[in-house]
Amino acid sequence: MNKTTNQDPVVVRNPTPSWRAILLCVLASMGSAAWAGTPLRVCYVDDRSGVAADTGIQSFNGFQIAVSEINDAGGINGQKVEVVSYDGKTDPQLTATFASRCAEDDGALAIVGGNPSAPAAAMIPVASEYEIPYLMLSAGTDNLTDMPAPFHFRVGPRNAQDAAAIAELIARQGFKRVALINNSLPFGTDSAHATEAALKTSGVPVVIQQTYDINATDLSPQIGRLRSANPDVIVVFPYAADGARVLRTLQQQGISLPRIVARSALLNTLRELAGDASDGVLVPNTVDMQRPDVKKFFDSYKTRFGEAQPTMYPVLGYDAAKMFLQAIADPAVQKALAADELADARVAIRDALIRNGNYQGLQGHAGATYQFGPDRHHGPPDQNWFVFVQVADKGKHLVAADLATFKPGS
Amino acid sequence: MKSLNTARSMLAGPALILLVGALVPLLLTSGFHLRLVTIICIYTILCTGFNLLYGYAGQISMGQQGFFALGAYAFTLLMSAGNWSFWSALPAALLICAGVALLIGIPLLRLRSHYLAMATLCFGLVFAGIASRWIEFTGGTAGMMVPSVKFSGHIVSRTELYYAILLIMVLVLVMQNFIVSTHMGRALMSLRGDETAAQSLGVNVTAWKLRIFILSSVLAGLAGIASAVVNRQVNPSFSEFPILVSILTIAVVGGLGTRYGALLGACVVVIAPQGLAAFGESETIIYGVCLLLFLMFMPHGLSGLIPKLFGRIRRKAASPAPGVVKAGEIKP
Repeated sequence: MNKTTNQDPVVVRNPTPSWRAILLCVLASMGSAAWAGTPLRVCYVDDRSGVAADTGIQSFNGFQIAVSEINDAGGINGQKVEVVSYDGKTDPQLTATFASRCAEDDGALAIVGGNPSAPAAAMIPVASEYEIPYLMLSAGTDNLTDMPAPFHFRVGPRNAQDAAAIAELIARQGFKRVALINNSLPFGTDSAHATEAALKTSGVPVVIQQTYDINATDLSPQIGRLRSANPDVIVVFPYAADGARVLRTLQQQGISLPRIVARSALLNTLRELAGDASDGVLVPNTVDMQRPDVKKFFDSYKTRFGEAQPTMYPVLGYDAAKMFLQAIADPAVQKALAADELADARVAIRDALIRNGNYQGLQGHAGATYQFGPDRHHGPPDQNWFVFVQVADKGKHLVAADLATFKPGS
Repeated sequence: MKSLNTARSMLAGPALILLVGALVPLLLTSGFHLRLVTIICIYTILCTGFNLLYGYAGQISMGQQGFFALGAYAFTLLMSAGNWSFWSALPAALLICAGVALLIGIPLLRLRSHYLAMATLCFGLVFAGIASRWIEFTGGTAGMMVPSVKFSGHIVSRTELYYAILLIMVLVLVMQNFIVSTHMGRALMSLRGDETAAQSLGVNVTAWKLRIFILSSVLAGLAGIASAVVNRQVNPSFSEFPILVSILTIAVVGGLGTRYGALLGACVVVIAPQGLAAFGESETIIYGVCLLLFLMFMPHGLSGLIPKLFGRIRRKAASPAPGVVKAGEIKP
């Protein structure tokens, strides 16, 4: 069994090469999951080398900071927390297999992870089957936590909430002619439709909506049509690389209208590729840098992993870990752990997550709390959660949005 | 005597696989390991169809993942939305796969080589698009939950499910061996060699191409249904590139146009990521390098390696030890 203890206090257990046990069936028969007597174990399964690697890596870093904090303080009732991590590579089948490995072989108390929607969705049946709590992160597909959701919870906002926040900002800032442009993937189309519906409710007309293929290299036709519709604000729902192409094409065609780009602009990749074409863009975020606790967290992040822009991704990992660690300390969970009952401990953690449902984490405005409950496994509330940030310095930095100048005609 | 040998070659391998497979749950104590072995069986079913189509008949299809997803979605929709029983939904879903394969096969199979590959790839892409965007019908990116399989109130356990899928896989392998061992196999291999020459020898090229395309699509659909039942969920990722990449990797690693290449390749493709997880960030690079080495040094895959090894051992056993003189041989 490979066991690597880093210099930092987080114990990262490299998974055992149990494939040998499969090849040599006899050895495999000895490979039962022995949970008793081991440290408190939690699994982190996310994409850390696929298309959404930025989100997975940043969330894992945030997750490790929370675990380090608790281990530095002596653990929970003297027991250290051990992290087993797997890279799902954005492959839902592989991700689901790792999740079942967490539940069975690793004997984890909970699973955390899931930034892209498809792999996150693939872990839900595993969580339900093994009755293991699963905290998914920024997977935005709206119906992922629709009831029944026996053991899974969502820490990040859903796409419809992003759309509502964007629509509310547009209405508040006095825009009257909105242009929407989105890629043809589900994230793009779903978000554009949700925003259109939210704008309709607010009484703001959408003058044009354009869809492009994510791999299209020339976006001039779509941007040309946007210009012809004479909008006063442009909202973009892209992935990273195509989002940069949209912004560069807008710049090349001399369109300097106010622009809002969906949460994909929180990713460094989009802003690095777009360069100065991304400057001034507004992005919905859930991290308020005015909060001292948020500032402190990002200082700690910088010390350990290097500078990170204030985005939701590290915070999601941190908040999910904190909620899980708080649940472990619950007396009912401790009782089940003392009795060496893994299944009971998992159920007790699920119940504790619901009991502590109004947890105040680092997402949202000061005072806003998660809203988990027996009939609600989606944490972020609809109010006081989103904070808009603005891209600056040729895409390098995210700063507080200057809403006084983000007006029609600016 | 010849027919006895043929029967032995058709049944011996699958019988051994069934025997070993039947013992696996007794040796494994972890449900996770059982899940891995079940996934190996599913990939073997999927890739046996691809092997018959491409390995034996030489017709490249890049749309197998589309049929994999079609089978899974059809089965799930019939079970959950249509309230069909398992025994009705299973054959109906396979019939849907066969019908769609027939419909698209008639125009597409006029194409050859990379044109056929591109056309079938489009089918996979179209299906992925439909599965993602027809949200009211397919559940969109979140997909749909698959109800547990029940027989007279009894929910089929994971081990029972494994045995069922193992049995199906063995039957699929027997069917493949039967096809390969008979005139059907020779007809398919003649297509791979030269379609014009095959036609001049009396092989109905169009009919055989269509038959094998439908069969491979039905097998892909069957694997998709098994995957949906095991994962308890179906989502658009069933029709996306990771599945196609797995099929192609299994073909490279296991060996195309061989009887057990699909099984050997599936073992490697399913188990390797679990073993390589220990290498952390280097995992993807190591996996890629290993695949490259396979292509360079084992172009016929693991199936090509095994006869080589046996041949070497046999030659070694047959060659006389130094100084030993065979009967009738005069030592100078």
